[in-house]
Amino acid sequence: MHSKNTLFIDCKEAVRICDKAQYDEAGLWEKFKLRLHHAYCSSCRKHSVKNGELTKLCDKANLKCMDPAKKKALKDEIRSACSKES
Amino acid sequence: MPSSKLNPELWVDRYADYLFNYTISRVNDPVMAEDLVQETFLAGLRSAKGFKGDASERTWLIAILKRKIIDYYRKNNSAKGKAEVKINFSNNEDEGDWLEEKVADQFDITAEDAMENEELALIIEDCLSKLPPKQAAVFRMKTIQGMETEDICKELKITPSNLWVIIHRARTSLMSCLEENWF
Ligand SMILES: [Zn+2]
Repeated sequence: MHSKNTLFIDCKEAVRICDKAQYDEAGLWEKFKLRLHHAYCSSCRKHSVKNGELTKLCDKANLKCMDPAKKKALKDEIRSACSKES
Repeated sequence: MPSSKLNPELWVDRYADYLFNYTISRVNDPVMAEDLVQETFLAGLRSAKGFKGDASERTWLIAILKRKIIDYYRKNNSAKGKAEVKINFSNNEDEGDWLEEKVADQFDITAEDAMENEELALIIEDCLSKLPPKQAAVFRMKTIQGMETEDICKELKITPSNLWVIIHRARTSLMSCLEENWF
């Protein structure tokens, strides 16, 4: 339950907005409230810096993942090969 | 790694993306990389009896994968010309001769960067593999596959606030894991 009209948010809400912001999913109003929160809460401010760094590192690493369908097929293949053996 | 037993049923969840990232920085072709990972797992299954348990499961699979990548380059060498092979077997006694570092011209300047980024990718994968599977899965969908929040919620049957709690836990663990291993 997050009241949209509260100007002052708690740390839990601040952290939630900060995470959303890492994926460009925080709204303008949310970002404003977050900035306001950071003005007086140093622990959220520190967390936010680290969170942003993680985002940068993930971008830099250019992580890839295998196609989920391919993974599933491979899992099934391994499972059936294992059950044949035992 | 004290466990000396293989758990093939868990290979895909535990190592597929790690091996995939390892491969893709070497073969530069996602479809081929997937095939090589698949071949590696199947070869691992076939030679499971040869696993002595003195290396971790992942190290053992990487050793198989390295051989697969070399085979791939042998087959494609003529066609590909200046293939980029960055495989270092210096820590692998039986194939010590295989020290091949041919880096294509266009990679010269960025090679160091690319290597650093690859190392970073593998460290992040390593950190991800230490998370509870669901956290890792949600983080992958959101961060790596770039899926919409709504789609992930639908697929996993969770609410958006669940999703953000999971993402938060995953990110917090990743931050401390990276602090230990990267900075
Ligand atoms: Zn706070």
